[in-house]
Amino acid sequence: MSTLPLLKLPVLCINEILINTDIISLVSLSLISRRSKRLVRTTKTSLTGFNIKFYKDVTEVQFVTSEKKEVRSWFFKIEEKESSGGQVMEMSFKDDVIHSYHSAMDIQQSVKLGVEYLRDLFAKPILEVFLFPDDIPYPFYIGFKECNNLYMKGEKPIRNEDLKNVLENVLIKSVCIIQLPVNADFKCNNNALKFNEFSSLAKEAHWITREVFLNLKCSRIYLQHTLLDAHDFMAYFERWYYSNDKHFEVMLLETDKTFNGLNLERFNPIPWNTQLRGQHFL
Amino acid sequence: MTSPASSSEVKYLIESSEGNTFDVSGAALRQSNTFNAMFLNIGADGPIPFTDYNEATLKKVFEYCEHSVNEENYSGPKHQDDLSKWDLNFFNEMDQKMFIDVINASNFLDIERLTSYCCERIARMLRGKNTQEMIKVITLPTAEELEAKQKVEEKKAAAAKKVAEKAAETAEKTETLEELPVQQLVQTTRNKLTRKYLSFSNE
Repeated sequence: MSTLPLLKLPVLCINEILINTDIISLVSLSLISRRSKRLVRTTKTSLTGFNIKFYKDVTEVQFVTSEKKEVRSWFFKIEEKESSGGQVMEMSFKDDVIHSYHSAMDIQQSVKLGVEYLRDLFAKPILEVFLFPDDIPYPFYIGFKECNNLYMKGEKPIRNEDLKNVLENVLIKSVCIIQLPVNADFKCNNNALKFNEFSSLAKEAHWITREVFLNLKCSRIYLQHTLLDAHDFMAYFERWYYSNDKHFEVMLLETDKTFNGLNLERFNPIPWNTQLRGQHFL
Repeated sequence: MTSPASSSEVKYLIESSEGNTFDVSGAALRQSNTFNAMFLNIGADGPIPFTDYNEATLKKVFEYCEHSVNEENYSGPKHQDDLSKWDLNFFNEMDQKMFIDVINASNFLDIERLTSYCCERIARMLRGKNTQEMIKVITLPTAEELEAKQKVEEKKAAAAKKVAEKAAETAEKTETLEELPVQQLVQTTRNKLTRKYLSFSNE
């Protein structure tokens, strides 16, 4: 069968073909040549961004679209493959997924390059990052600079340097949820803890000391199993009460300590009334 | 024969690149936005020339239009899975060359439905293929080919420039050659007249 001269077709037809082509095929097409990459770059897609999930052996990059279709993904897998002719990685394209195989040594770099390639190709943001760091054998790092939401979940404590690396080097624009044990001696640059919403839902969050707590710059805060007490809370509250901070919305604080000494009487609190609250009440 | 009528019984004559003509119903032709824009209101006094496309291609395109005349109003492309048996046969009968010609003609005639189906069909051909497999389906010029093409174009441009320069030179020469006898003639006449005047004044 003769081949189809894609670029010799009328421009409108090329455009329509590319609009009808699924994301995975567009990635494959973009890898043929610089010109085909340029074509894909100018194509309108229903893609809204990427979700990235880091597991022990696999990293999954999901293509999130505005249509409610099945999810399409690129799986970066740790699998030793004999490289031939200097080929860096082997890839396979199936209907809905791309598989690429890497050694444990270079998988993180490959994920970084892959995500950079996709972001350059489609000019879309990283929406959500899911990190499951249990048993990841190598020092972990996220190779990109920003994402909207970050979720960390696990049973085992995350290595201090890994968590520090994530929190200090990735700009988390909206939500950060930490649902894994963090070592009590964990320390990071407190200025990095600026999120719209911050939740620490681990069974032990003793790393959130008074100093860390007072440095949190978040609209919504939900902390469990901390060692904070009522004095810490009062200090936070008082500072907010006398400040111009209009972003703070809600805080739920659960501590492993007794919570005595909470005194809000001098602020003349009034009973809860939904009628008096603004439309932005959660 | 070819009048600006809206009746579906009106037939129009279409002329292909071979110079052959054939009939197409008005209803089928009205699916072409190009036709609508060009001829529907003003009509055509003779065969409508679509001479960039051969007879076989035009007949194939209008065969599709004739078939879809009775279908409900077009509302976006149907997926290939939803195509009728007739549609599938229509596409499967075509070889690659004819398929490309049909896309080009359909695009020129602006027959939205046919163009969409053709494009979606190509998109289907690309689905689930890796880069190597994709290269077997579509032809994309490689970097070397593009470079070679650019060189050929540059050579052509240089050759055209040379020809233009030569033509300009020749034109200049011709101008001077043509001008010389006239100037000489003027000069001689002027001399003669001067001489005559001098002799007359001497007398």
